[in-house]
Parts: sequence; structure tokens; C-alpha cells
Amino acid sequence: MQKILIAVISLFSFTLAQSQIQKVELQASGLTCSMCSNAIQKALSSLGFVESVTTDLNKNIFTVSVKPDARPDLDAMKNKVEGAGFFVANLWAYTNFSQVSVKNDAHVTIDGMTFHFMDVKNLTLNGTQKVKLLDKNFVVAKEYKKMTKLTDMQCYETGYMEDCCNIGKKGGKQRVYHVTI
Amino acid sequence: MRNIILCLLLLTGFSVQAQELYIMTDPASNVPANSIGVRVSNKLMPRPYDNNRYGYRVLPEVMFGISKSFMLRGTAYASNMFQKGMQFEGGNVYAKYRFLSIDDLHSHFRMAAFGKVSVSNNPLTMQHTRQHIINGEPHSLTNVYRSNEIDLDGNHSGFNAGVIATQLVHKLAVSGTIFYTSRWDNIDAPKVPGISRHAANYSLSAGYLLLPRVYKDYRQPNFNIYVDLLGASALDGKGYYLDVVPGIQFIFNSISRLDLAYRVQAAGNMERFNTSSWLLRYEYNFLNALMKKEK
Repeated sequence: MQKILIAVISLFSFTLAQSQIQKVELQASGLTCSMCSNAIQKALSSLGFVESVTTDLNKNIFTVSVKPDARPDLDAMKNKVEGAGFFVANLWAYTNFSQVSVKNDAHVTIDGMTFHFMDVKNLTLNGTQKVKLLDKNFVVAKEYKKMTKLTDMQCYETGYMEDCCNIGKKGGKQRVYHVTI
Repeated sequence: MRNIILCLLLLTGFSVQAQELYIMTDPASNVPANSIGVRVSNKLMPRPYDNNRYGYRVLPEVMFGISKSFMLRGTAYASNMFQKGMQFEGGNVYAKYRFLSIDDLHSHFRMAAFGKVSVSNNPLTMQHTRQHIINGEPHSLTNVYRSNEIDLDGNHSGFNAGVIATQLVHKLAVSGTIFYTSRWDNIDAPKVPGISRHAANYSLSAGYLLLPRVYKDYRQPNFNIYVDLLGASALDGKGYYLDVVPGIQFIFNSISRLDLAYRVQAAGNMERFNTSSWLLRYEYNFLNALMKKEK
């Protein structure tokens, strides 16, 4: 009974849209050996918000657990992979949503993070979702090129809020993460 | 989306098994940013003045990953190639900048520019004097050995500069290098006229991962095989050579490597101190050594 009560209370207290990235999976490209993977693993582990990193050496997929209450900086993760000498080919953020309605090719700001959903149907997100990043240098060049056809908004090119995306400040430096599900 | 799934399926079908930790050449890829690597290279080379008995050169090296696209390497040399007993000979500094990188999920093409400056105090010739008794009279006979092979890893002062292109496709990693080498006068060494000063160099390297077929963890040793072709043409008419270098490599704990290679001349007409040599090298990497841990 108590549990149900807590659940009901928490449901009401979270009527504001909330999201939290708990885990990130990223696949690196251009690797040739376990020495390269090790360099990426050590580089990712050096980030303050990272709790642990596990690796699938055959697929070059790194699973990064995020410290509780920490917000992962996805750009910092990308920079670490590039610093090790490689590139991000795929990045999936396991994000917790509660009552977030998303529309195709539209922005939604959740808990201070702005997402731009692409290649999706209009839907309401709940629970943990595997969100794939589509930003430049988070996908291989070919895929990025393909995705540019799905939006006219300039922010997909820069990764930042531009005039076109008439939310918030003009030409502001608000990071926009372009994602799909 | 379908393409991504297809790519993933392909990737699970076969892991990328090429290797580009070339033994005799540098790939266009860089060492990881913020890392420090230490190496000790050991070379065994026949000494022409000593009935081709092997002489020994040791080359300690330290490498710095300054950024994702820039690295530096410093090397020192000591050997007994020119005299009895080991002697400090000099050193070189090598810098490499990666200026192009086109990566796909399981292929990449990279290009880099590099340069090296070497300082050596070795003499330019090897000499051997023998005493003979002819008709009861003592005679001395001196043989002088010269080399037109400009060697910026021990024998000579000078510099080189060039470009590297490395292509990785599925299981094969091929790298080509082209560079210009110029020889300066060695420090404290008598000048010898007529020894080559300018050369065009080129190389082609290929590597292949033999073991493991499937990775389980970072501690698994890797076993790689390589072949390098190393060529030089003197630009002042002092001949050319083309060497072939088969080599093997072990990688331990994904952090250190051991290389063994045998270099031998396949073709050429250049006057050289030696046309074959052995190389044994150990390398250890300190990742994240040049950065503070973030809080």
C-alpha cells in the first residue's frame, strides 16, 4: 500500500518533463586492435561523471555507466574517443523519460537538455528509452549526410541552437542533441 | 536505419583483424592523446670490418601524444658499430601530424605529415687495419668501408620529411610512406667527400592479426605478422636499395608490445655498411599520463 502511495506521489511530483541518462553505449570506428580499445577505455574512464566502462572488444562497443545524479557530457565522451585516435560511429543514450511527448523534427527541452527528435513518429515517451544520437561526429559520415535530408534546420549542422530553431535566444549557444528512437 | 543494422550484422560476423602497429614504419594514425610511450629498440647489424660479426645498437625512445593529431618522439643511440665497446652516438626528434581522417565503421583512410632531425657523432667510414708480413717485412693494409645509405637512426646527422597514407579495409591495413632525406655533416667527424647527401625514400607496410580470432578480454595476448618494404634512391647518383622486412609482434595486456623483425636487401646497387639486420623492440604505453583526472 505504502509503495503504491509513493508511486502515486512521485507520479504527481514529476508532472514536469524529466529525463536522465543512466547509461551510454558507444561504438568506435577505425580500431585495429585491443591496444586501441584499451586507449579508448582508459580515456573514457578518466571522465568525472563516468562510473565504469565495459567493452565488447569484438564489436568495439563501450558501455559507460554514469554516476548517479551526474549528467554525462556526450561531447566530452566523443572528444575522448577522438583523442585516443578514433571516431564515434554510434552512440546510444539510455535515457529515462516520464511523460515526454515528442514530435518529428521538433525540439523538446527536458531537464535542461534540448533534444531534436528526427525520423520519429509523434509519441509520448515513458521509462528508459534507447536514444540514438545523430549529430555530426556521433555517426559515420555517410549516415550524417543521409540524415541531413530529414531536416531543414541549421542546428543539425552546428549542434547548437540557431536562428532557424526559433526557441530561446537567437543564435544562442544552447547545445541541441539530435536524436532518434 | 536498415544500413546500421546491416553494418552491425556484418561487424558481428567478422571482427576487424587488420593491424597497423607497423614495426619498421609509422602509420598515419597517431599515438593516443595524453599518452606517454617508452620503447627500447635493439639492432644487430653485421660489421663489415669485423668479418661481418654482429655489432649492436640500442635505441631508447620516448613518445608523447600531445593531441589527437600531433605526436613527438625522442630517440637516443649508442652502439659498438664503429669501435670496440659501446659508445653514445647521438639522437633524433620525430614529429608527426595527422591532417586527414576519413573513417567508416570498419574502414579508414588517414594521412599524416612527419619530419625528423638527427644528430650523430659517428665517423662516416668504417676502417679496418691489418698487419701483414710480406717477404719478412711488416706491412699494414687499411680497408675503408663507406655507406651511401643515409641513416637517421644512428649513423648520420640530417633530417627527413614526408607524408604517410594508411588505408584499413576489413582485414588488411596497408600503409605507404614517401619522404625526402638529407644528410648533414656528423658532429666531430672528419668530412669524407663523395658520400650521398640526398635520398628519396619510400615504404609499404602491411599487417595482419593472427591471434586471437575472437577477443575475450584485454589481457589476451595478440599475435600479429607484418611485412615492410623499405626503399631508397640516392638523388646524387649513389645507387638504390629495396629491403624486405618480415616481422612478428606480440601485444600483452593491450598496453605493451614486443616486435621482432629481420631486414634484408631484396634488390639494390648502393654501397652500404650492411644489407641485413635484426630488430628486437619492446614498447610500453602509459595512457592518460599527460592529464589530470577530472572530478
